[in-house]
Formats: sequence, structure tokens, C-alpha cells
Amino acid sequence: MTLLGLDPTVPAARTEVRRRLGYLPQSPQLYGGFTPLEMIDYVAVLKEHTDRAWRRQEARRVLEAVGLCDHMHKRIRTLSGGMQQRVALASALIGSPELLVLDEPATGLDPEQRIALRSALAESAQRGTVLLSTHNTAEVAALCQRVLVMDRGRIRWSGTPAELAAEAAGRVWESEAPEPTALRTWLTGPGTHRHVGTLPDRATPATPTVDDGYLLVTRLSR
Amino acid sequence: MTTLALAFVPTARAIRWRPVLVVVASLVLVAVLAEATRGPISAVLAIAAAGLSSTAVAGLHDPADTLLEPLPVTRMQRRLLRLAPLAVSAAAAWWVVTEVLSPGRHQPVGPLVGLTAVGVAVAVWAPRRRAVVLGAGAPVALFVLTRVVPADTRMAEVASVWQTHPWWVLLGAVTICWLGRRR
Repeated sequence: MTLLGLDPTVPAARTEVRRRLGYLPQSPQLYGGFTPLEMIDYVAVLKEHTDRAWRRQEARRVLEAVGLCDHMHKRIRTLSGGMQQRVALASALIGSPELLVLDEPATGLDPEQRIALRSALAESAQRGTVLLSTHNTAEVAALCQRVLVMDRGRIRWSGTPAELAAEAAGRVWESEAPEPTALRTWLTGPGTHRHVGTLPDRATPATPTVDDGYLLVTRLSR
Repeated sequence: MTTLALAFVPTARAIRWRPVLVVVASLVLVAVLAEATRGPISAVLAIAAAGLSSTAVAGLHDPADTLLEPLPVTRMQRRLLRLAPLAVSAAAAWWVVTEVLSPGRHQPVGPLVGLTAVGVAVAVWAPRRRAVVLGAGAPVALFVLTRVVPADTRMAEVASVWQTHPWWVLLGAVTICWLGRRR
């Protein structure tokens, strides 16, 4: 196995991979007493960027990319959860990494912040690879070029978001009552029941979504 | 080296110093009381060694660990960055406590060094989620062991090795840490 063309089991190669990697863990913790600027600068130092002027310039660039320029001098503990999430994302963006690994990056973000996140990630995807781990299929549909569906630690399906939605074409329908023969049935907001499975004769197929495709693929793989 | 030098000050800032200050203040108070009441100096010194080393190891807790984990500066290097200011603070506090207990008389720093080294070694090898808790608990556990094991037994000799041969304990702990440098 290679990562960025390097063998990560070799210590020197692993360090090189780390230099070229950006990572955002799920629910990251930060130093509450630091400002976003200080936090980003610290991460940049630990990424072996020793030029102070470059670090300051890069910190401002990534904070601008996540829409936090106005808050860069405030203590992190005074920022909202969504803002703290964006500070962590900004730290992952330092140095424009070739590979960006993000675990549930939209957690705690409001719709406006999610749009800012999408813009930042789309920009990063122009320069390298962005690997997004998420349960949020709306993010998948909006951002991803390729999807891997994982279930119980194994890859069950791969393709584009449109192809994932298409998996459920002709196998999604809605009705007034629950459908016991369906693979999966759930109540929608307007009060109708939506189903994935084998379409009954009397039913009219609904337009499939990425959610439907995901549910079908994971149900069929069990 | 430049990277580690640049990271020294912000790493020291990232440490939670309030618990350290509380422990140091408490130990100085205990030392003052012991000195005023002619209490057992050796017991107070042992308590101080255990308390300070435990606090120093507890300072290894890094809330941003998961965020910083995949960076080129390794976890072991970050541990050392944290340990340096903590060790200096613990040594300074040790000096204050010993000066209060026995002014002008030199008290060896070995037990403090030995216990801290054991705690760090435990923190390096313990399961990640409980690493710092177990590491910080190790010096206290060793201190308690020396108190509960009957004196003049083989077990008592082993339990008090951090007091009798602290530099060998340090050497062993450093070796164990080196073996776990990728952890």
C-alpha cells in the first residue's frame, strides 16, 4: 500500500506523508486560551514551517478561507462550536496539503457556515485530493466526485453521487401507509411513508436521492 | 531542532498550569506545617515527590492530541515539549519544599526524577485513552506501595527502588520510553 506515492510503514516516508497531509478529526479539541491565529500558527510550526512571516500570511489565508478573519484575535473558548470547528478546519488547510482527510467536517455548522465550508473544500479539491468521511448525504451530493459506501468496516459500493442515487431508481416509492415488504420504510415530514425495496405493482416510483441509494446499498449488503 | 525550539513557548502555554499551581501551593503549605510542628520530614518529602511527579505527568494531557496527531512533529516529541517546562517547574517546587523543610540542607532530587520517569513510561505504553491518567497515577501508586508494604522485606526493597536507586529507575524508564517512541 502506498500513500501519496510513499510507503507509510517506513518511518521517514511516514513523516513525509505527514508533511503533505491535512487532517480534521471528528469533534476536534483546541486550546481555549489561544486565539485562532495562535492556534493556526502553532499547528504550522508543528508542520515544520519555520518562516514566521510565511506562517502569519498562511494563517490569515486559511482563516479567510473559513470565514474567520474577523475573529482571529478572540480567545477560542469564546467562539461558538461552529467557529471552533472552522478553526480546526483552517488548521487542516495550512500549507495547501496534497491530501486532506476530513471526518464529519460539517458537524455543528449552520447552513451559512456549511456553504463556506463547501467553498473552502472545493478550492482545496482544485489542488489535491479531499477525502471526506461523513454520514451527511447532502454534503456528499453537494461536494463529492466519488463516493465509497462503507458498512461495518467494509467498502460496499463505489461510484459517483448520481450513480448512488440511480441505484435506487425504480425502487423508491411513497404511500400513505407503512409497507411491510419494503427493505426500509420511514415517515417523511409531510406525513407520507417513503420506502426502498421492490416496487409493488400499484405504486408509482419516486425520484431517488443519494439517501435512498445509500439505504438500498447498505440494506442489500447485509 | 528549530521546529522544536519554535514550538517550546506555545506548547508551554498550552499546558494547564492551574492544577500545577494548586499542587505546588498545597505541598508548600504541608511543608510549612510539617516544619512548624516538627513533623516527619522524610514522609513529607516522599509525598512531595509523588505529588509533583504525578502533576508533571498529568500535564502531558493534550486536549488537541487528535488534531495534532498526524503532524510531522511526533507525539513523543510533543510529550517532551510538554515535559520540559513541567519538569523545570517540578524541580523548582521541589527546591522550595526542601528549603522550607530543611533550610540550607541539600535534599537529592532523585526520587522526584525517578517517579516522574516511571509515570512518563507508563503514559507512553498505557492504552491511549487512559494513558495520562494511568501515568499520573503511577507515582502515587508507587508512593502508596512503599507505605503499605511491610518494612525490611524484599518487596519493600523493590517498592522503594525509586528512593534508593532513582537514577537506575530513570535509565530503565528512558529505555522503555525509547522503545515506545512511536507510540
